[in-house]
Amino acid sequence: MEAPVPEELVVAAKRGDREAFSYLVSPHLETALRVARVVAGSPDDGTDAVQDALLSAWQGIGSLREPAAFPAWFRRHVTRSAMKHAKRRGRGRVTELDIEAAAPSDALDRAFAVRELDRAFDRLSTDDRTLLTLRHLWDLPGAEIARHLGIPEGTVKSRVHAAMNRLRAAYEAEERR
Amino acid sequence: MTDNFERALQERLLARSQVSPRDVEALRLFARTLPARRSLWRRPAFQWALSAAAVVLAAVIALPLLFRTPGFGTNPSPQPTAVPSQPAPSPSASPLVPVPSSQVPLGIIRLAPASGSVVNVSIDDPDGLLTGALAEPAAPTMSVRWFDALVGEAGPSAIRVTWVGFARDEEVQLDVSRDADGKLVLHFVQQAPPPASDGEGEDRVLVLELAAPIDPANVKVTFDYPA
Repeated sequence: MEAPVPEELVVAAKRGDREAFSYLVSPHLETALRVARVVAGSPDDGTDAVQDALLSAWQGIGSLREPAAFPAWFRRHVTRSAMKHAKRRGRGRVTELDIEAAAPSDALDRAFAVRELDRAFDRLSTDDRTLLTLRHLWDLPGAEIARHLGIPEGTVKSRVHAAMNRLRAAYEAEERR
Repeated sequence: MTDNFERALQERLLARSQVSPRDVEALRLFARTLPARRSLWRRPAFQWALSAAAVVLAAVIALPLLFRTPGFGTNPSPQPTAVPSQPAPSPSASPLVPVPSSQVPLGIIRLAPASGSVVNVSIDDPDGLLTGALAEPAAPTMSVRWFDALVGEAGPSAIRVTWVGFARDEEVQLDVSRDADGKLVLHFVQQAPPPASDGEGEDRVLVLELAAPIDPANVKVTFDYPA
Protein backbone atom coordinates (compact mmCIF):
# COMPACT_ATOMS: atom_id res chain seq x y z
CA MET A 1 0.00 0.00 0.00
CA GLU A 2 1.48 3.29 -1.08
CA ALA A 3 1.48 6.30 1.20
CA PRO A 4 -0.88 9.03 -0.01
CA VAL A 5 0.75 11.82 -1.96
CA PRO A 6 0.46 15.21 -0.22
CA GLU A 7 -1.34 17.33 -2.78
CA GLU A 8 0.36 20.52 -1.62
CA LEU A 9 3.76 19.03 -2.53
CA VAL A 10 2.59 18.39 -6.09
CA VAL A 11 1.19 21.92 -6.29
CA ALA A 12 4.46 23.35 -4.97
CA ALA A 13 6.52 21.24 -7.38
CA LYS A 14 4.35 22.46 -10.24
CA ARG A 15 5.15 26.02 -9.17
CA GLY A 16 8.85 25.21 -9.43
CA ASP A 17 9.72 24.19 -5.86
CA ARG A 18 12.60 21.72 -6.22
CA GLU A 19 12.58 20.83 -2.54
CA ALA A 20 8.95 19.73 -2.84
CA PHE A 21 9.79 17.72 -5.93
CA SER A 22 12.66 16.07 -4.09
CA TYR A 23 10.29 15.08 -1.24
CA LEU A 24 7.87 13.63 -3.76
CA VAL A 25 10.41 11.43 -5.53
CA SER A 26 12.45 10.42 -2.46
CA PRO A 27 10.38 7.38 -1.44
CA HIS A 28 10.65 5.98 -4.96
CA LEU A 29 14.32 6.53 -5.71
CA GLU A 30 15.76 3.31 -4.33
CA THR A 31 13.36 1.01 -6.18
CA ALA A 32 13.57 3.18 -9.27
CA LEU A 33 17.34 2.79 -9.27
CA ARG A 34 17.10 -0.97 -8.75
CA VAL A 35 14.67 -1.39 -11.63
CA ALA A 36 16.57 0.96 -13.93
CA ARG A 37 19.83 -0.88 -13.32
CA VAL A 38 18.31 -4.23 -14.18
CA VAL A 39 16.41 -2.98 -17.23
CA ALA A 40 19.18 -0.73 -18.55
CA GLY A 41 21.74 -3.48 -18.02
CA SER A 42 24.42 -1.75 -15.97
CA PRO A 43 24.72 0.35 -12.81
CA ASP A 44 25.93 3.39 -14.75
CA ASP A 45 23.19 3.20 -17.37
CA GLY A 46 20.65 2.67 -14.60
CA THR A 47 21.80 5.77 -12.75
CA ASP A 48 21.74 7.80 -15.97
CA ALA A 49 18.24 6.50 -16.70
CA VAL A 50 16.91 7.60 -13.30
CA GLN A 51 18.54 11.01 -13.70
CA ASP A 52 16.87 11.39 -17.11
CA ALA A 53 13.58 10.28 -15.59
CA LEU A 54 13.92 12.85 -12.82
CA LEU A 55 14.60 15.56 -15.36
CA SER A 56 11.67 14.62 -17.59
CA ALA A 57 9.33 14.28 -14.60
CA TRP A 58 10.44 17.68 -13.30
CA GLN A 59 9.87 19.30 -16.68
CA GLY A 60 6.55 17.54 -17.22
CA ILE A 61 4.99 17.76 -13.78
CA GLY A 62 2.81 20.63 -14.94
CA SER A 63 0.83 18.14 -17.02
CA LEU A 64 0.11 15.86 -14.04
CA ARG A 65 -3.59 16.38 -13.41
CA GLU A 66 -4.19 14.02 -10.51
CA PRO A 67 -1.70 14.42 -7.61
CA ALA A 68 -2.55 10.96 -6.27
CA ALA A 69 -1.29 9.49 -9.53
CA PHE A 70 2.22 10.85 -8.95
CA PRO A 71 3.90 7.54 -7.95
CA ALA A 72 2.64 5.64 -11.00
CA TRP A 73 3.33 8.63 -13.21
CA PHE A 74 6.93 8.87 -11.96
CA ARG A 75 7.43 5.11 -12.34
CA ARG A 76 6.32 5.44 -15.94
CA HIS A 77 9.05 8.03 -16.54
CA VAL A 78 11.60 5.68 -14.96
CA THR A 79 10.48 2.67 -17.00
CA ARG A 80 10.60 4.55 -20.28
CA SER A 81 13.93 6.10 -19.54
CA ALA A 82 15.45 2.75 -18.53
CA MET A 83 14.10 1.12 -21.69
CA LYS A 84 15.54 3.92 -23.78
CA HIS A 85 18.95 3.42 -22.21
CA ALA A 86 18.66 -0.35 -22.64
CA LYS A 87 17.87 0.00 -26.34
CA ARG A 88 20.77 2.38 -26.79
CA ARG A 89 23.05 -0.10 -25.12
CA GLY A 90 21.69 -3.01 -27.13
CA ARG A 91 21.13 -6.52 -25.96
CA GLY A 92 23.49 -9.43 -25.70
CA ARG A 93 26.01 -7.81 -23.38
CA VAL A 94 26.10 -10.33 -20.63
CA THR A 95 27.11 -9.28 -17.16
CA GLU A 96 29.47 -11.97 -15.96
CA LEU A 97 29.32 -13.10 -12.40
CA ASP A 98 32.66 -13.72 -10.74
CA ILE A 99 32.18 -17.35 -9.67
CA GLU A 100 35.32 -17.52 -7.57
CA ALA A 101 34.36 -14.44 -5.62
CA ALA A 102 30.69 -15.26 -5.39
CA ALA A 103 30.80 -18.82 -4.13
CA PRO A 104 32.79 -20.98 -1.80
CA SER A 105 33.58 -24.39 -3.28
CA ASP A 106 30.59 -26.14 -1.69
CA ALA A 107 28.18 -23.74 -3.36
CA LEU A 108 29.77 -23.91 -6.75
CA ASP A 109 26.79 -25.62 -8.38
CA ARG A 110 24.46 -22.92 -7.22
CA ALA A 111 26.89 -20.25 -8.33
CA PHE A 112 26.96 -21.78 -11.80
CA ALA A 113 23.15 -21.90 -11.87
CA VAL A 114 22.99 -18.25 -10.86
CA ARG A 115 25.46 -17.31 -13.57
CA GLU A 116 23.42 -19.18 -16.15
CA LEU A 117 20.25 -17.42 -15.03
CA ASP A 118 21.99 -14.04 -15.24
CA ARG A 119 23.27 -14.81 -18.72
CA ALA A 120 19.85 -16.01 -19.84
CA PHE A 121 18.19 -12.88 -18.46
CA ASP A 122 20.71 -10.58 -20.12
CA ARG A 123 20.10 -12.25 -23.46
CA LEU A 124 16.37 -11.41 -23.40
CA SER A 125 15.01 -8.50 -25.37
CA THR A 126 14.58 -5.14 -23.63
CA ASP A 127 10.80 -5.59 -23.66
CA ASP A 128 11.02 -9.00 -21.97
CA ARG A 129 13.54 -7.79 -19.39
CA THR A 130 11.35 -4.81 -18.62
CA LEU A 131 8.18 -6.89 -18.29
CA LEU A 132 9.82 -9.39 -15.94
CA THR A 133 11.45 -6.64 -13.89
CA LEU A 134 8.23 -4.65 -13.51
CA ARG A 135 6.40 -7.80 -12.49
CA HIS A 136 8.95 -9.55 -10.30
CA LEU A 137 11.09 -6.74 -8.90
CA TRP A 138 8.77 -3.75 -8.80
CA ASP A 139 5.77 -6.03 -8.22
CA LEU A 140 3.47 -3.77 -10.22
CA PRO A 141 -0.13 -4.72 -11.00
CA GLY A 142 -1.05 -5.61 -14.57
CA ALA A 143 -2.92 -2.35 -15.14
CA GLU A 144 0.13 -0.25 -14.33
CA ILE A 145 2.46 -2.44 -16.38
CA ALA A 146 0.06 -2.03 -19.30
CA ARG A 147 0.14 1.75 -18.93
CA HIS A 148 3.93 1.84 -18.73
CA LEU A 149 4.40 -0.24 -21.83
CA GLY A 150 1.41 1.03 -23.82
CA ILE A 151 -0.14 -2.39 -24.17
CA PRO A 152 -3.66 -3.63 -23.41
CA GLU A 153 -4.05 -4.70 -19.81
CA GLY A 154 -5.57 -8.00 -20.89
CA THR A 155 -2.34 -9.03 -22.60
CA VAL A 156 0.05 -8.37 -19.69
CA LYS A 157 -0.35 -11.80 -18.11
CA SER A 158 0.21 -13.67 -21.36
CA ARG A 159 3.21 -11.48 -22.24
CA VAL A 160 4.81 -12.08 -18.85
CA HIS A 161 4.15 -15.79 -19.29
CA ALA A 162 5.75 -15.76 -22.75
CA ALA A 163 8.76 -13.81 -21.44
CA MET A 164 9.18 -16.36 -18.63
CA ASN A 165 9.11 -19.16 -21.19
CA ARG A 166 11.78 -17.44 -23.24
CA LEU A 167 13.87 -16.98 -20.10
CA ARG A 168 13.45 -20.66 -19.27
CA ALA A 169 14.52 -21.63 -22.78
CA ALA A 170 17.53 -19.31 -22.63
CA TYR A 171 18.45 -20.72 -19.23
CA GLU A 172 18.25 -24.29 -20.51
CA ALA A 173 20.40 -23.34 -23.48
CA GLU A 174 22.97 -21.87 -21.05
CA GLU A 175 22.88 -25.07 -19.01
CA ARG A 176 23.68 -27.15 -22.10
CA ARG A 177 26.67 -25.00 -23.02
CA MET B 1 16.28 -24.53 -10.24
CA THR B 2 13.49 -24.71 -12.80
CA ASP B 3 10.97 -25.91 -10.14
CA ASN B 4 11.12 -22.56 -8.43
CA PHE B 5 12.14 -20.64 -11.47
CA GLU B 6 10.09 -17.53 -10.73
CA ARG B 7 11.33 -17.34 -7.16
CA ALA B 8 14.91 -17.82 -8.35
CA LEU B 9 14.42 -14.98 -10.83
CA GLN B 10 12.97 -12.74 -8.13
CA GLU B 11 15.94 -13.43 -5.84
CA ARG B 12 18.41 -12.79 -8.64
CA LEU B 13 16.75 -9.53 -9.61
CA LEU B 14 16.94 -8.39 -6.01
CA ALA B 15 20.55 -9.48 -5.70
CA ARG B 16 21.57 -7.89 -8.99
CA SER B 17 19.94 -4.59 -8.24
CA GLN B 18 21.68 -3.79 -5.00
CA VAL B 19 22.04 -0.07 -4.48
CA SER B 20 23.95 1.75 -1.81
CA PRO B 21 22.44 4.53 0.32
CA ARG B 22 25.07 6.78 -1.23
CA ASP B 23 23.70 6.16 -4.73
CA VAL B 24 20.20 7.02 -3.55
CA GLU B 25 21.41 10.12 -1.72
CA ALA B 26 23.20 11.26 -4.88
CA LEU B 27 19.94 11.00 -6.80
CA ARG B 28 18.09 12.89 -4.08
CA LEU B 29 20.65 15.66 -4.39
CA PHE B 30 20.25 15.57 -8.15
CA ALA B 31 16.49 16.04 -7.70
CA ARG B 32 17.06 19.02 -5.42
CA THR B 33 19.40 20.71 -7.86
CA LEU B 34 17.49 20.26 -11.10
CA PRO B 35 17.67 23.27 -13.40
CA ALA B 36 14.90 25.79 -12.85
CA ARG B 37 12.04 25.43 -15.27
CA ARG B 38 11.68 28.29 -17.67
CA SER B 39 8.23 29.67 -18.17
CA LEU B 40 6.70 29.69 -21.62
CA TRP B 41 7.52 33.39 -22.01
CA ARG B 42 11.20 32.77 -21.42
CA ARG B 43 11.63 29.80 -23.72
CA PRO B 44 13.83 30.57 -26.75
CA ALA B 45 11.36 29.00 -29.19
CA PHE B 46 8.53 31.12 -27.83
CA GLN B 47 10.63 34.27 -27.90
CA TRP B 48 11.67 33.53 -31.47
CA ALA B 49 8.04 32.99 -32.49
CA LEU B 50 7.06 36.22 -30.75
CA SER B 51 9.80 38.16 -32.61
CA ALA B 52 8.76 36.65 -35.93
CA ALA B 53 5.13 37.55 -35.25
CA ALA B 54 6.15 41.13 -34.41
CA VAL B 55 8.08 41.45 -37.69
CA VAL B 56 5.12 40.12 -39.70
CA LEU B 57 2.73 42.46 -37.89
CA ALA B 58 4.99 45.44 -38.52
CA ALA B 59 5.18 44.52 -42.21
CA VAL B 60 1.40 44.15 -42.47
CA ILE B 61 0.91 47.62 -40.96
CA ALA B 62 3.79 49.39 -42.71
CA LEU B 63 3.45 48.14 -46.30
CA PRO B 64 -0.01 49.59 -47.08
CA LEU B 65 1.04 52.93 -45.55
CA LEU B 66 4.19 52.89 -47.68
CA PHE B 67 2.23 52.28 -50.88
CA ARG B 68 -0.21 55.10 -50.07
CA THR B 69 2.57 57.65 -49.55
CA PRO B 70 2.48 60.34 -52.35
CA GLY B 71 5.44 59.94 -54.68
CA PHE B 72 5.84 56.31 -53.97
CA GLY B 73 5.09 54.00 -56.87
CA THR B 74 3.89 54.87 -60.36
CA ASN B 75 0.68 56.76 -59.62
CA PRO B 76 1.12 59.85 -57.49
CA SER B 77 -2.59 60.68 -57.44
CA PRO B 78 -4.33 59.60 -54.31
CA GLN B 79 -6.51 56.55 -54.70
CA PRO B 80 -9.98 56.48 -53.32
CA THR B 81 -9.85 54.53 -50.13
CA ALA B 82 -13.49 53.59 -50.12
CA VAL B 83 -14.08 50.22 -51.74
CA PRO B 84 -17.51 49.37 -53.08
CA SER B 85 -19.10 47.08 -50.61
CA GLN B 86 -18.98 43.44 -51.60
CA PRO B 87 -20.21 40.39 -49.82
CA ALA B 88 -17.53 39.06 -47.53
CA PRO B 89 -15.93 35.91 -48.89
CA SER B 90 -17.21 32.84 -47.18
CA PRO B 91 -14.67 30.74 -45.36
CA SER B 92 -13.28 28.10 -47.69
CA ALA B 93 -12.79 25.43 -45.08
CA SER B 94 -15.54 22.88 -45.06
CA PRO B 95 -17.22 22.36 -41.71
CA LEU B 96 -16.64 18.64 -42.16
CA VAL B 97 -12.87 19.10 -42.14
CA PRO B 98 -12.23 21.02 -38.96
CA VAL B 99 -8.78 22.26 -38.24
CA PRO B 100 -7.91 21.34 -34.71
CA SER B 101 -6.96 24.32 -32.69
CA SER B 102 -4.42 24.49 -29.96
CA GLN B 103 -6.97 26.66 -28.19
CA VAL B 104 -9.01 23.55 -27.50
CA PRO B 105 -8.14 22.54 -23.98
CA LEU B 106 -7.28 18.92 -23.36
CA GLY B 107 -9.14 17.10 -20.68
CA ILE B 108 -12.61 15.88 -21.48
CA ILE B 109 -13.81 16.04 -25.07
CA ARG B 110 -17.41 15.29 -25.97
CA LEU B 111 -17.60 13.25 -29.15
CA ALA B 112 -20.20 13.73 -31.87
CA PRO B 113 -21.46 10.24 -32.74
CA ALA B 114 -24.32 9.88 -35.23
CA SER B 115 -26.71 8.53 -32.58
CA GLY B 116 -26.33 11.68 -30.52
CA SER B 117 -25.23 9.67 -27.48
CA VAL B 118 -23.25 11.52 -24.85
CA VAL B 119 -19.77 10.07 -25.23
CA ASN B 120 -17.02 11.87 -23.34
CA VAL B 121 -13.35 11.10 -23.82
CA SER B 122 -11.12 11.88 -20.89
CA ILE B 123 -7.58 12.39 -22.19
CA ASP B 124 -4.55 11.56 -20.07
CA ASP B 125 -1.42 12.90 -21.75
CA PRO B 126 1.25 12.98 -19.03
CA ASP B 127 4.09 13.73 -21.46
CA GLY B 128 2.34 16.59 -23.24
CA LEU B 129 2.41 14.89 -26.65
CA LEU B 130 -0.86 16.55 -27.66
CA THR B 131 -1.62 20.22 -28.03
CA GLY B 132 -5.30 19.95 -28.84
CA ALA B 133 -8.21 17.66 -29.49
CA LEU B 134 -11.43 18.09 -31.39
CA ALA B 135 -14.50 15.90 -31.83
CA GLU B 136 -15.61 15.47 -35.42
CA PRO B 137 -19.13 14.47 -36.48
CA ALA B 138 -19.14 10.73 -37.18
CA ALA B 139 -21.10 8.91 -39.86
CA PRO B 140 -23.82 6.42 -38.82
CA THR B 141 -21.65 3.52 -39.96
CA MET B 142 -19.03 1.12 -38.66
CA SER B 143 -15.94 2.11 -40.67
CA VAL B 144 -13.75 -0.30 -38.74
CA ARG B 145 -14.21 -3.44 -36.70
CA TRP B 146 -14.24 -3.51 -32.93
CA PHE B 147 -10.75 -3.19 -31.41
CA ASP B 148 -9.51 -1.64 -34.64
CA ALA B 149 -8.96 1.98 -35.65
CA LEU B 150 -8.34 4.09 -38.71
CA VAL B 151 -5.64 6.72 -38.34
CA GLY B 152 -5.26 9.35 -41.05
CA GLU B 153 -3.74 12.77 -41.53
CA ALA B 154 -5.88 15.73 -40.56
CA GLY B 155 -3.34 18.48 -41.03
CA PRO B 156 0.40 19.08 -40.85
CA SER B 157 0.61 17.85 -37.29
CA ALA B 158 -2.82 16.43 -36.69
CA ILE B 159 -4.32 12.99 -37.03
CA ARG B 160 -7.88 11.79 -37.33
CA VAL B 161 -8.69 8.65 -35.37
CA THR B 162 -11.83 6.68 -36.19
CA TRP B 163 -12.91 3.75 -34.08
CA VAL B 164 -16.09 2.07 -33.01
CA GLY B 165 -18.11 2.17 -29.81
CA PHE B 166 -21.57 1.34 -28.62
CA ALA B 167 -24.33 3.78 -29.62
CA ARG B 168 -25.00 4.78 -26.04
CA ASP B 169 -23.83 7.25 -23.41
CA GLU B 170 -20.35 6.42 -22.17
CA GLU B 171 -17.23 7.78 -20.48
CA VAL B 172 -14.14 6.76 -22.44
CA GLN B 173 -10.56 7.02 -21.21
CA LEU B 174 -7.76 7.82 -23.65
CA ASP B 175 -4.16 7.44 -22.49
CA VAL B 176 -1.55 9.01 -24.73
CA SER B 177 2.04 7.86 -24.56
CA ARG B 178 5.04 6.85 -26.61
CA ASP B 179 6.28 3.29 -26.70
CA ALA B 180 9.90 2.19 -26.64
CA ASP B 181 10.09 2.38 -30.43
CA GLY B 182 8.96 5.99 -30.46
CA LYS B 183 5.47 5.19 -31.73
CA LEU B 184 2.59 7.26 -30.46
CA VAL B 185 0.32 4.97 -28.46
CA LEU B 186 -3.36 5.82 -28.10
CA HIS B 187 -4.87 3.49 -25.54
CA PHE B 188 -8.68 3.63 -25.33
CA VAL B 189 -10.50 2.19 -22.36
CA GLN B 190 -14.16 1.71 -23.24
CA GLN B 191 -17.03 -0.75 -23.33
CA ALA B 192 -16.92 -3.32 -26.12
CA PRO B 193 -18.38 -6.71 -26.93
CA PRO B 194 -16.31 -9.81 -26.06
CA PRO B 195 -13.42 -10.24 -28.52
CA ALA B 196 -14.77 -13.32 -30.32
CA SER B 197 -18.31 -11.97 -30.67
CA ASP B 198 -19.88 -9.26 -32.75
CA GLY B 199 -21.85 -6.25 -31.64
CA GLU B 200 -23.65 -3.32 -33.18
CA GLY B 201 -21.59 -0.16 -32.91
CA GLU B 202 -21.06 3.20 -34.52
CA ASP B 203 -18.11 5.34 -35.51
CA ARG B 204 -16.39 7.67 -33.09
CA VAL B 205 -14.05 10.29 -34.52
CA LEU B 206 -11.47 12.38 -32.77
CA VAL B 207 -8.94 14.75 -34.30
CA LEU B 208 -5.77 15.10 -32.27
CA GLU B 209 -3.28 17.89 -32.74
CA LEU B 210 0.23 16.86 -31.84
CA ALA B 211 3.15 18.82 -30.50
CA ALA B 212 5.24 17.46 -33.39
CA PRO B 213 4.26 16.13 -36.85
CA ILE B 214 3.82 12.37 -37.01
CA ASP B 215 3.30 9.79 -39.73
CA PRO B 216 -0.05 8.05 -39.10
CA ALA B 217 1.82 4.78 -39.64
CA ASN B 218 3.67 5.50 -36.43
CA VAL B 219 0.51 5.61 -34.37
CA LYS B 220 -0.53 2.52 -32.44
CA VAL B 221 -4.11 2.30 -31.20
CA THR B 222 -4.95 -0.20 -28.49
CA PHE B 223 -8.15 -0.94 -26.62
CA ASP B 224 -9.08 -2.26 -23.27
CA TYR B 225 -12.21 -2.84 -21.23
CA PRO B 226 -12.87 -0.65 -18.20
CA ALA B 227 -11.85 -2.26 -14.92
